[in-house]
Amino acid sequence: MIFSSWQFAIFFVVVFGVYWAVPSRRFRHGLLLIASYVFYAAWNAKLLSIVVGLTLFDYGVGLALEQVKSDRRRKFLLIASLSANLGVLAVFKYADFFILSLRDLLAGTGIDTGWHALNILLPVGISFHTFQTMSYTIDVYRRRISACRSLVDFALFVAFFPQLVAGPIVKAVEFLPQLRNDKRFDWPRLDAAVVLFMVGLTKKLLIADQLASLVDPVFADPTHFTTRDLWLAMLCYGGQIYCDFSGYTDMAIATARLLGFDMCENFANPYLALSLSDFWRRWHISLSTWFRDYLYIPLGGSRAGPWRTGANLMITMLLAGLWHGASWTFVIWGAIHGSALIASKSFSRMTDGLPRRMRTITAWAATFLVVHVAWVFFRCQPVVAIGAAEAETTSAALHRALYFVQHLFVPATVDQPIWLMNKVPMMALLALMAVFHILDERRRRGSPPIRLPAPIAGVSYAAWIIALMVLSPENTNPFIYFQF
Amino acid sequence: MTENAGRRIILMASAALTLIGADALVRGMRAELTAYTVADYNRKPSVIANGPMPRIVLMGSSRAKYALVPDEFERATGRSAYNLGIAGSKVVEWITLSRALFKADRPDLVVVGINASEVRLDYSPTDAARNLFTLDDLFESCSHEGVSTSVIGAYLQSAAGPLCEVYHHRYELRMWAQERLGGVLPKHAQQARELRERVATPEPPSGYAHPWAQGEQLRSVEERLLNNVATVEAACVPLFSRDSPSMSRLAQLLDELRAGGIRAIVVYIPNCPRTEARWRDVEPQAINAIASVCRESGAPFVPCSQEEVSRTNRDFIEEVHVGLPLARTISRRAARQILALGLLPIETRHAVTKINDVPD
Repeated sequence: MIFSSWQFAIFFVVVFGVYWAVPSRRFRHGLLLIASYVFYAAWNAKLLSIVVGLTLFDYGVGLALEQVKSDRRRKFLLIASLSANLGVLAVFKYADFFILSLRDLLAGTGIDTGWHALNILLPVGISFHTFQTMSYTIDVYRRRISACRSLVDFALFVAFFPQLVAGPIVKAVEFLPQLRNDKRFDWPRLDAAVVLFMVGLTKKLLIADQLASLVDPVFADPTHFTTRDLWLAMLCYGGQIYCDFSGYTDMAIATARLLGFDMCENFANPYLALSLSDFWRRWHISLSTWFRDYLYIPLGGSRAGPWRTGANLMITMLLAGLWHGASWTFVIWGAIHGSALIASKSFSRMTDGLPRRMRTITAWAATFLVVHVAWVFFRCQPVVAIGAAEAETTSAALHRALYFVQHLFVPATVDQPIWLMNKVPMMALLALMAVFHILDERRRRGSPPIRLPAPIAGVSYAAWIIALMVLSPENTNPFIYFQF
Repeated sequence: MTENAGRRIILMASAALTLIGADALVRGMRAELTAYTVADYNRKPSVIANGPMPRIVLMGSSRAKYALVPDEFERATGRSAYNLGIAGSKVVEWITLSRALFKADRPDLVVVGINASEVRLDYSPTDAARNLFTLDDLFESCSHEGVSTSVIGAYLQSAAGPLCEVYHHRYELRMWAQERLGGVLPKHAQQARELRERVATPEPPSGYAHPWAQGEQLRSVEERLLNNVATVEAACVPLFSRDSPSMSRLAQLLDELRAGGIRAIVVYIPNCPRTEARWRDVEPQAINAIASVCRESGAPFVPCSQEEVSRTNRDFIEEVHVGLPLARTISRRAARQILALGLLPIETRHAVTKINDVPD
């Protein structure tokens, strides 16, 4: 049940209606919890037990952390909670990755293990809700927040359906206090949320899904495309992943707002970033702050000299890459970002002598280029060929990515290039994405929303709805971040 | 009334009026838009519904559409034959179609062209729900294939479609606009023009038109493999289970035809050797299961094994679609079986060919 489906529309209308019809806060929380579990079970009822199991365990650990005084026992409880969450992740997300990597490593030394992939079904949203519960346990351990007493409230924090499957990764300190307030229906809030939902829907259906159908053939086999088309495909993939994920986030935030909840922003015009560290302050903000607060800073951050800072950055980015998926190409994507973050300080020193405007343009262009080249590795994942039992090898995927990147800069000689039919629509979609970027930036800078006269606004909204109806693709792709 | 409430009412009223206006506009354009309506599920059935009932109906998906040549059946049996093969259709669609079409009049024989892909485990009859289902069919599907929100959604969208013509004709509107944007999008305009021309082309009287007979797509799988492996689509290996809903649906189809006094014969439409090799873990099981269902339902089965109908990759247009010579061989093979088993009632006004007169 994805936000852009009619199933979700019916589900949400029912939940929304019942939620605001009853005044009792406890009933509302119970309703949202049941709705969240139904939402998850619509995908896979059996794997809901993982969410429920981890919820019960971390709820218990949270209460115990408050009651236990001994530091050693508290540390033991923390380790138990982290082990449970990371253990579940290791089994469901990384087991095949470790097995196959070890198998290939041993095969390189002449040992044939005969191991095969276990093909364990990856539970949707597992990386998000485990990180959310880990942040809760760590914060209770650090005594930054007190443990949640209500099991229903805690379960709702873990499973709240707008952000359950692909974030934003909400911290307990941001979410749990909102459960203590009585919420009142608010028309202006509803207006803003509906518009935000439509923005998200437009990003997903009109841009991301359309771009996906255009770039998929290029990434599947880049050897048939010219250098110019490779550039276009790379830029379009950057547009696709941004619109897919930020579109999802807009819809998640809007859905939460319609129910009276506020969620943190997850994007802040990432493609306007002027450095890699600026990019990570603008892209998937909830994940980057999670890694900053719970990994980078505890590792020592930037306080222990340049070498240690570099190592901390690299460890953080490698793990951020691995967080996205169990594949070496994600690790390489993380390594590119880690290396670029380390190098970015030297780069800014190199451009010190340039005029200010030139320096800004150079910094923006370099950041934009690194981010997009790294997306090629992110996108070129090992795929399971039709009829094959296992995915292609990492080296095959890596070879594709390397070919792609190499021929961005070295003209590709293609005997019979496949003519990329959709260049004009691709560019139109990229322009539309740029418009969304500019509007987002206006909103971020606190500019008041454009207020058209009511009849013109009404006609514009109707035209927007018609455009969504007519131009949306027949089949909606799942959100990219659902696989993480 | 507050200023905001007033603004909201005006805004919603103007939005609603715009939507109603757009809907009326599209209703007015309906004749122009239907020029782009593909309606594969309606075209062939409407030929049968509006004309005399053919004595032999050849039923199936696009595999049957290519592989069962009406001429061959007519030549062998002396009865009129019509190819009702519809791309993308599966057993559920064939049941729904046979119920709708064989009510008043009925053919003497139905030839069901089938492949392992059509009895796959993971089939959800979304297209059938969108194009063919009545409410009764939907309930029946829920009990057979299980409750599927996508099937129910497809049915509801189709049933509610006429309420919102803009949504209902969204595809046609896109094509209509594409053709008019030829200056900016020449290839897209061409695509739309080709679609309009295809829709305007009447169905052949026999329902059969093979691209090789019309000079299109002359290259075989083999030639395309030699040129570039990547351009040959690898047909997905179907998930198969003897207990799949599709298998029970096949039994249901054969039973319903028999109950309606229509004889049936099932012909296995083979894949090309390249696909057979990839499907080797699944396809033999599926063929055995189909044969078993046919036995239980009393319908003869023509398995078209490699020994019966020899074939190479050169005989196929695509992995799963046969070329014309092989289609004729398969059809002759099936026609011989029909004659050998005496599946057609004797009609004195037709000079029925002797079995031995039908060439292999």
